[in-house]
Amino acid sequence: MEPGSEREVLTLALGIAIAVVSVVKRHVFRGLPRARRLGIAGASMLVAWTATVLEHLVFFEVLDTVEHLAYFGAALALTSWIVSVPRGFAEPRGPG
Amino acid sequence: MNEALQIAASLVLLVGLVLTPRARTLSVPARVAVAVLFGALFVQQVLDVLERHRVAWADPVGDAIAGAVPFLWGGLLLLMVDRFHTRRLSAQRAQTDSLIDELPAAVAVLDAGARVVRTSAGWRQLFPSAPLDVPLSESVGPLPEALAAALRRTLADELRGAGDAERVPGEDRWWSWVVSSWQDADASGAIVMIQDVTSRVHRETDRESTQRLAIVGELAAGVAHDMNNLLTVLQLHVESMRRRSGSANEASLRSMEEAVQLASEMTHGVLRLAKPGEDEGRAQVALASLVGDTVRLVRSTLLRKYELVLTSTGRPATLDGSATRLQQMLLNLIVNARDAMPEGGRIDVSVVATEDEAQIRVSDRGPGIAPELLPRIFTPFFTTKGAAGTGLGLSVVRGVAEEHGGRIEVSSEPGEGTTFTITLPVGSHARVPQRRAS
Repeated sequence: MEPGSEREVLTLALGIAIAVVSVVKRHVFRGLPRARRLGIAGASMLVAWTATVLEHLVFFEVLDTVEHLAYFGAALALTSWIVSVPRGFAEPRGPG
Repeated sequence: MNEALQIAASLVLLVGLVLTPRARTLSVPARVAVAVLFGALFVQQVLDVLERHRVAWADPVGDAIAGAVPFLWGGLLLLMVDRFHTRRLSAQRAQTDSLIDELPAAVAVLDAGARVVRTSAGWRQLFPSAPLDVPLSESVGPLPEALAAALRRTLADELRGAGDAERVPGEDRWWSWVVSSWQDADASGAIVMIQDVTSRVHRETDRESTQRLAIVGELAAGVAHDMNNLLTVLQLHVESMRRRSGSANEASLRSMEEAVQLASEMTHGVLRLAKPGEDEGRAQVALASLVGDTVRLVRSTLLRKYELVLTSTGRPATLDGSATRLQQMLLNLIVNARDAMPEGGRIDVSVVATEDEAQIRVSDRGPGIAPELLPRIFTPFFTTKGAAGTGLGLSVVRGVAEEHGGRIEVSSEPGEGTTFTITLPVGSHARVPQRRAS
């Protein structure tokens, strides 16, 4: 492993922990506004963190590209979420 | 290629960072968390580019920021979840408030200390001046004992209670009520629903009185019939005594005869009341004369503490009607006036006649009638005299007035007295009196 990659492993571990909690407690997140976009952003970051760790072991070029693509996707999803949130955050739901 | 992606991602994150303050529906902590997350990701991407260009310090700093990103992400999610549920809760509470507010029934929400914290439109209609944030008993006045007890039980044990037609202490009001408990994460209390069933209770009471008096009426008719037979015998004996004794005891005999005649009319009256289909003879009645005779008759029976004053103005009036029934009507009004002044006082009776109609007024100077009772005084069996009254007097008076095509009005001021005014059509405007079917 290269110097500094321990921190990347720790980041991935924390990311996986958050992802696990999010999946286990998914009912809590279900009502969040535009939750899918937030989920895509989170998943993209998780992919990026995974690729960051794995690129030191195999397919450096490919995984490096995947990492940056995932970061780009996360940036897009997050930005799209922050733009869409102002419309109807936590409005009371009608009957049914 | 990768560097282009990093630059693109940086730019997109920068756009997100700029837009974050506009997300005003997010709470301030959530906005700060989102901005920090965007900023961290942006700086991370920029540092990554710098690292490719061999900037020495970019690598450790970028790594440190990358390590912080999961924490920021987790923090953002927690804030969002908290914010979402808080807002959803307040939206639900607003819906509940609105629902309670618009309920047509009288509903009050009480807190654990039995203080009224929220009321429905129906409640505010039933208790227009009842304040909020005070105990229920202070807000609406004394509660029926069972309701107060049920409320205590509900607040203590979260039970449910209900009561039907219970009297409000000290008032002629009757409530049906339901008490149940409520509880949420932070607090608990009770919900009280009250329905004012006073009119229903009055109807039921009147119906019971009607049934009871119908039985009494049957009995009275039987007694009156037998009494009439005995009076006939008595009358015959009086006539026989007059023949035998000549004029020696004429005065006493005349008094006895008048007493027998009066008693006979009274028994006939009872029989007429019991059998309303049987009508007595009608004739042209001189109103002023009839009123004068009645006043003189009553005056002789009144105690000295009463002053009965008769005034008659206008033209002489006659109407086609029943003298006995009209006399009964007037007697009832004068007796009512007397009963309104147990300490004594002045009773005014006046007759005012025009070409078309005549007005008979009977006024007392008693305590008057409470405004809320005025609409009910002509209702059969309604009485303010308790066990001493039958509640039939004024309903009979109205019945007689209507039988003669007339009407009755009442005006009363608390503390000032009461005046009943009977207006009857006279002369060619008087129509043939009709006995009511019942």
